[in-house]
Amino acid sequence: MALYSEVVMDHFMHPRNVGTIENADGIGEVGNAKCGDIMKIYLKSKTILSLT
Amino acid sequence: MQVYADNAATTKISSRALQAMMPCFEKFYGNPSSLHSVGQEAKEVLDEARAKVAACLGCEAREIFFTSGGSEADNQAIRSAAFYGAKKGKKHIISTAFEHHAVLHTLKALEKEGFEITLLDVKEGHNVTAQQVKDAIREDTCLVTCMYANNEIGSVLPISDIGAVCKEAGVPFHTDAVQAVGHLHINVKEQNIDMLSLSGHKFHGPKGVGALYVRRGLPLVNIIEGGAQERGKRGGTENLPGIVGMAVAMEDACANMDQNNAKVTAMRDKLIAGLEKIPHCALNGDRENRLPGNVSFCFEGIEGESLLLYLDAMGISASSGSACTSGSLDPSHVLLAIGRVHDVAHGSLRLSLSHENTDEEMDHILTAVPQVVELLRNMSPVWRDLQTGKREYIL
Ligand SMILES: Cc1ncc(COP(=O)(O)O)c(C=O)c1O
Repeated sequence: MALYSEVVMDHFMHPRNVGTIENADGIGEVGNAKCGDIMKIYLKSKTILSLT
Repeated sequence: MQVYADNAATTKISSRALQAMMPCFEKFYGNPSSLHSVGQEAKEVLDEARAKVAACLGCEAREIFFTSGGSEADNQAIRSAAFYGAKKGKKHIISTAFEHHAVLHTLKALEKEGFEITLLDVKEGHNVTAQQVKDAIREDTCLVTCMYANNEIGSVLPISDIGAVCKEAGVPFHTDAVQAVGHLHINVKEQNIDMLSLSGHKFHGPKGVGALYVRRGLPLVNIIEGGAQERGKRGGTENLPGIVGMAVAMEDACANMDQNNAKVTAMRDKLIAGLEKIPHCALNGDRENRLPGNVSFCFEGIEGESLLLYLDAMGISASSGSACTSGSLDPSHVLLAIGRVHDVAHGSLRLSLSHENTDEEMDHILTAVPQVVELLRNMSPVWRDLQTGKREYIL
């Protein structure tokens, strides 16, 4: 299918960095349930910078 | 293994249909409207094709109007009933919520022109009843248009019963039979069908050709103005190769229907039984009254497009009611109409079979689909939320 670029298809067929992180420092969710696409990103950092 | 399981979208042309078309390019290339013998030979071929199509529907040849396909036939049938209805002050049309866009968008256009449209609910049993039609008919109803069988979920409507209700009420009845012709036994007279749309490419005929059956005496308006072709109701030099290919494919489909359906139904039921074992899924469409080749499911926690891409990589051509790539964020109106909520409707899969499929191909599908569903669920944050109880299962 030439619907998506090679790079996108490569990541799709061979997913990298997929999963969950226990005790993540940050979790973000973005997406559109209406469109059926949801992405959840987990962050774990050695040093936590306070952004106050 | 390559498995084509998208026969509701379109079919591969049969070799008999293709072979029948070839002489129309090289031998019968005349214009059927020409007076000379080359033209008149082409006219004979055209008449023969018209007779074949009519025989398959149980009508007269003069009641068949060739078109560019199912969409044009739907447009013309509905526009005609609307025009002549309005002349009598009748501007109410009844249809169903899960019609093809060729019907729904025509109705929407008519709504803007002042018609009132009633779309019958299809949540109950993923189908409509003749009683629903009966209850919706009013003094000012000028048309009932209900599809014969649904293209996405395979429900076969009670067309004979609806036809009887319409006849009794004296309301013209049109059916979009694009998915049914060549797959189900149809007799327009016995079933009281006034108008019927069909399309060549859904039964192993060519694309870009179809027909509209119109009961004798029912007036038509033109969608295409032009010459006197098709009794003056559809201008344009006839697509003779297409028409002949369609007629041969239709004749074959009707002649071999029982035999083909026995095979296709068995494959369908095998797929349904196998796929139903996947947890948190649901069959879409009427289980009993169902097209022989239709398998349609929703799988919770995944997205249909990903499913299609993985299946494609495994050699399987299928389809889904999830349509983000087609520019719409909404899932299919058919799945929404039967009551599937957005989250679930996005995880849909349609496999549509033909007699050319094999049992080995079904085995391949039954291995591939559960694997892909599991793989996608394992990546899905929605599925994780479902499993950890943060979100409630719908299916
Ligand atoms: C139910 C139904 N109606 C109408 C059509 C349109 O037919 P065509 O593609 O020949 O215009 C289709 C197929 O796409 C269909 O499935």
